[in-house]
Amino acid sequence: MKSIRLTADDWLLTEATRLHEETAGRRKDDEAANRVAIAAGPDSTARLLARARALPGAAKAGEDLARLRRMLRYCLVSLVLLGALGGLVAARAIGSGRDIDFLLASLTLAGLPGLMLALWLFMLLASRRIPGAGGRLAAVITSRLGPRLLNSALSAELLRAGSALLRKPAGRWYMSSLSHAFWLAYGLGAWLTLVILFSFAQYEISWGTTLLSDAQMVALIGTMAAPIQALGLMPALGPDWIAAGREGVALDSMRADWARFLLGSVLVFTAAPRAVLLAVCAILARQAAARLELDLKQAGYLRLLPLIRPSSEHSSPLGPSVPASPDHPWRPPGPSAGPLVLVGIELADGSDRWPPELPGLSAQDLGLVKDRSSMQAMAAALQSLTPRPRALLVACSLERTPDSGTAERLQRLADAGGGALIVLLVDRERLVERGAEIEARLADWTELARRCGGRAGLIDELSNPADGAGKLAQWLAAPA
Amino acid sequence: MSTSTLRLAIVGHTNTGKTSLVRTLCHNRKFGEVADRAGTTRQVSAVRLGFDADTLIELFDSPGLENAPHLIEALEALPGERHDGPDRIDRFLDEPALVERFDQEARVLELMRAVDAALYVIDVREPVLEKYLDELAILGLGARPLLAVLNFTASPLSREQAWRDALARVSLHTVLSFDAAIREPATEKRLFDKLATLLDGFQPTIARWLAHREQEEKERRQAALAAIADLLIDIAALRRTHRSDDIGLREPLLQEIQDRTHHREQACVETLLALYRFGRDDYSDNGLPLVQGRWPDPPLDPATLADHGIRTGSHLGAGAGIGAVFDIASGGLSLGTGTLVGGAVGAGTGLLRSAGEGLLERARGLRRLGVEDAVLRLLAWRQLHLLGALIRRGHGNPEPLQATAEERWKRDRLPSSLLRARLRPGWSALNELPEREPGRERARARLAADLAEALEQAPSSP
Repeated sequence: MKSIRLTADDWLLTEATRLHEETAGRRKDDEAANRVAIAAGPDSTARLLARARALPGAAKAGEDLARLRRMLRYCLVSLVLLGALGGLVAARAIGSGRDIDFLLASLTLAGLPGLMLALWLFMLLASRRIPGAGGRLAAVITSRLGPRLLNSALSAELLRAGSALLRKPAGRWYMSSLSHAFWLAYGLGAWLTLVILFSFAQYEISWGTTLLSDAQMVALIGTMAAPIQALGLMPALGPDWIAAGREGVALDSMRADWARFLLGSVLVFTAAPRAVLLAVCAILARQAAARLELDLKQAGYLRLLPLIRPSSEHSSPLGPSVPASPDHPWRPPGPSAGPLVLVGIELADGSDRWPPELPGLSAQDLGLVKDRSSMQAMAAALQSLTPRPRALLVACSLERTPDSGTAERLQRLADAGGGALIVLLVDRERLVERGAEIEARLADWTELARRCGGRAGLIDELSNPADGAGKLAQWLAAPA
Repeated sequence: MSTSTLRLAIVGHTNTGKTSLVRTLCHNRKFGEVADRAGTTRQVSAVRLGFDADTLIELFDSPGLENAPHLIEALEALPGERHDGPDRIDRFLDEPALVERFDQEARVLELMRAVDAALYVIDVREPVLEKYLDELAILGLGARPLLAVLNFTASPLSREQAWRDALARVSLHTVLSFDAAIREPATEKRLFDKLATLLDGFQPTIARWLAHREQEEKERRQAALAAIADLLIDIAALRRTHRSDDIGLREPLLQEIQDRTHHREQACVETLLALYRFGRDDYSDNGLPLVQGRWPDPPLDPATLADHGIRTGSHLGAGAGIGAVFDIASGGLSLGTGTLVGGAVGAGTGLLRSAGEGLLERARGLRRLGVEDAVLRLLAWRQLHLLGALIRRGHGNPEPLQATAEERWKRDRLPSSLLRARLRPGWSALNELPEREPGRERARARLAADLAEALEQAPSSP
């Protein structure tokens, strides 16, 4: 799925937010922004951008971004002025005397920019990366000036994000276009200065060599002249004319043509390629900017995505809640002459540890309920007891989670036996071993026993003659 | 690619960890409510798993079965074909009195009729009681593939073998140990692989989901390691300076370093927890040891020397370039003096900015304060320990993780990327003038690779 198109400002704001949150943690009050993000559509980038815009402080950060843009514009203007000034100074240095050496002048005005251009092209082709040394310079400038100009809570992160943007293709093409703008201004500054100098002063322009042969120099100058002649910037002139420009043999009538040649060289070898490359780099920078995208694999984004997704992971309850089952009224104890009857249900390895010890109590052991048939047999046995039991003591494991099935079994047994229903809870130590909370489980069993019309307690407490037996006796003696 | 959505019910006795299993499968600790008691889940809740707006799997969490022994009696008493389970369930659901009596179970049976398969969750610490086998018999009437998931298998009270034997006796052979407190990606894969064998028609869906999960896991791990590397670079490059004669300023600066280090670590912990979709209450840490404000700066350390060399070289090149422009602009009259002087000034600046910076600061009566190696090692080991634990932690695990107090990372020598960071205050977002230099990204990537190796050795408990 194609992401939305981000402007440089959008990218910077979202990245600065990420950098801030990765370093300082997420804001505690970002819930509203997260909701805005969820409503921003299905695209993750759009959601992250909407969230960044909706966070408190985004407006201030926007003002900082406007300042940053202004600062970049000033940098661009300064760079162009500096380039023009450099060209002016270089041309003025060449025209400081009345004699101009054509080859040295060309080397200064066209050779140096050409060398820099060759270097740029070499880096572009060799490293397969867009040369962006200027990006580092810009990063240093913005890091120095930024803190003085920016004042939002995200100012430091905006500068870091800006520095990262300059290292991306969009930033590198942009910095390359700045570099071409500089050299274009240099060429045009030099050209304009030379035009003025040549218009209002007379110069003797010649060439010379000490080491090389004249023929080699004539061929070199001829090669230089070819593109300028092809563009019609100077008349077509042959080797004889070039040879006549040799220092010491120049003819007065050739002065203007040599001046045109030098001016043409500056235009063709310095200004024109830079102008073309400036346009190309500006277009490429624009295209790369249009393809700017967030790296969603960064931890700061990755962790946010589940929060700003109208998630596949949101629970949606189906149907109404299950109603609670009705309570059974308190079951009073049976005749005081009746026995206490002991039964065990849902006990693990029950036969080995059955019956449990009940110090101070005498109870008739009816055994364990293990399955449906033993349940039916137990109910029948309870119904047949004479005299009717005073109370039914049901041993249950504290390990079991009390549930409605257990409740129904307890009710059936209590209905069959009559008398009070007392749930004696065993296996406390095993529940401790599970790491569960004893108090919470005991409370659940107590509640279950109450709903069945009975009482529940830990067996080791209830059967303790010191106080537990007292409690049990109290339950059996005082109904309700 | 379009694939059909697999609808999967999570069923079982009450309080066996069904919701915890859903949390672990959808990596969302906020799903549902978890408590060690019956009836915590009172409704059927759905959660969709998918990506790119596609829902691949829909999980249904259900209320626990509580009254199977009496329900099975009620089902057996219903008229109709004895061996037609779905018909029997439909008849049961058509009886308002029965539905009212077995309300919770009725919802589960209704759900069973609507899904493609079900996971029956068993708490293996429980003995094999008849009521649990009754549940299996009832669920079997739904005529949907059933996969038994054995939960709490890591507990010392586990009766896993007894359960496996019991399940085999009722012809349920598709069984998987899956402790909801532990999230093993391999176990999660096994669960879906087993489901794929039960559900031929959903194999493409399951394959897509597993591929997505694998990719997600990989990206999350890499992001987490990068976050730890970021933390360590920020802390290693953190520095403050004070005048050596102003002793009174030293303690407040050390306190500031301590606070910033602590807060930065907290931010990293929060990132790691959020990446794995846990919250702050899933982690309990202790404070950092007091920062003493010193670190060894070995003059012959290869990384330090290489860094000085690179810096000096790059400044020398820049200076010589500017000088050459001057030479050419002067028409060659300066005879290369510009290049020479520019190079010398550049090299000098480079040396001053790297090796000489400390000397210069001393000459100006300044003293540097920062975080020592032991704190860096502790931070690294704590984060690795936390990450290792989070990778294996199930989202149904209620116990918070404990921070380690050990520092067992790179005891002999810190990685070169951190030694470089020591020399580059611009690499730390915690310094006043952040000047992100390009080398930071490379250093972070190298450090993350170092950490990935160490992660394999970090002991962790979920």
